[in-house]
Amino acid sequence: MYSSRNRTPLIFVLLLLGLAALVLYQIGFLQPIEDLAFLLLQPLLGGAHGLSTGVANLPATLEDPNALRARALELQAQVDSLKTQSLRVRELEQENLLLRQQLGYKQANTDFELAGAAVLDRHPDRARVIAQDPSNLLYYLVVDQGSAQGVKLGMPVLTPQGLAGRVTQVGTQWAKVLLIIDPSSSVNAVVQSTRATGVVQGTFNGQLVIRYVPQGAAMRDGDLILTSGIGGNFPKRLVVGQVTQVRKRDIELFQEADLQPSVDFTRLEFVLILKKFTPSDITLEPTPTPTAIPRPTRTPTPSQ
Amino acid sequence: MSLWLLIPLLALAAIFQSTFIPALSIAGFKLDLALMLVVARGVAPRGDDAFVWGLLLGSFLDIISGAPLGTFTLALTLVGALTAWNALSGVRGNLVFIPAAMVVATLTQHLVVLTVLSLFARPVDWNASLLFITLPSAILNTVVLPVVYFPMQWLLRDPRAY
Repeated sequence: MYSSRNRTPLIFVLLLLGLAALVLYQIGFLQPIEDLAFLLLQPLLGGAHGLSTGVANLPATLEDPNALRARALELQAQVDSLKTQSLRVRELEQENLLLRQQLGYKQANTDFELAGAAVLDRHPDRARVIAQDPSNLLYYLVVDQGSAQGVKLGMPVLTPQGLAGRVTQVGTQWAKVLLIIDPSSSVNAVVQSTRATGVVQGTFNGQLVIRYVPQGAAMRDGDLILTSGIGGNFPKRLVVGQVTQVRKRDIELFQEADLQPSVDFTRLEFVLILKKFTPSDITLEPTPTPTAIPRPTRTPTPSQ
Repeated sequence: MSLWLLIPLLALAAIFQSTFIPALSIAGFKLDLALMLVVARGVAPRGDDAFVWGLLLGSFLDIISGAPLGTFTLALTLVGALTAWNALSGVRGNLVFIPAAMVVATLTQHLVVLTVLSLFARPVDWNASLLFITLPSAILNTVVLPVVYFPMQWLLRDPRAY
């Protein structure tokens, strides 16, 4: 098809075009081209993603389609509801404790519950996930809402289970969402039980880890990790994940822990884009009495 | 194959890569269908247009991916050019060369993507990424390659298709 004499310069030209595209993308010149491409691909992407979800559910569908689908949806709704209830109960426990300790807490508490419940309901626009990043090295989603629907850069993206990510690129009818499991994602967070602060970061293999938690703060397996609201990028009290393994070494200033994300990123169909919220910082609220943790003691090892 | 047929077919392949493949991931790893197509084209006899396949598939993937635009175009064009390299014409079609080409292609693609990410987007944990993402991906792609390779050889076997 291509003689070797013609091919080599052509390959170089194409590689140069690729490099030029990278540079132009950085400057922002390629946005109209991306918009046009998405305009053409979006119906196909949406249809294919819907179909792929159907394929993923095929084994269950083969057994007893209607009953199983209905049962699964019912159970999922129950799980979501129980998770929310559990979170609220724990928050209320926390709130109770604080009320006993702080006389002036009542006033602050009025906003406490409202903020937790209203975050998801305030802007119930559901954005449909139309594609996932094709690579194993990146964790992005493409959703079918863009600047025409009021989506802007940096907006948090949620699901009923918790925080999913934030908008990093916006087109007219589409937006790309950086998931919190991507290594370039950082979210300011607190440990729910102790209000110890840290930073939740994605890892190279799509896991979550909370870093920079002070050594003295108590953090145990099973603790819930919530957004802290510090920095104002995310609302406070969104569930991020649950501690699965704490790593703590005496010689380090901070401890860290692996987290189980609250959101199943492999099965996202719809997400909520939070278009407006009042930034507030959870750490400015009265803090509970920190749980005392025993200072690590060194037991002298018998000399050999 | 006519470009008018090739372009929509490769666009469909890219859509399949970003919709169906994530739903069918194995142990959390997504298959690199686009990469497999480029390699399968490049290692086939008369596969000298593999870099065009790479260019087209890369462009479609760039639109969908969160990586800087041009990353996959660059990576897959390079992979296409390497697999269609003249010096390899003697071993093309060899059953040892084909899996080896897939491993090298996965490594090349990941190296390009990671380099672009580290230059334009974020710091990269090279050792961990290459060991725990690239290596398993290369193995997975190589194991699944026959599923793509043989049907493609059958599909492209008729000289009239060119």
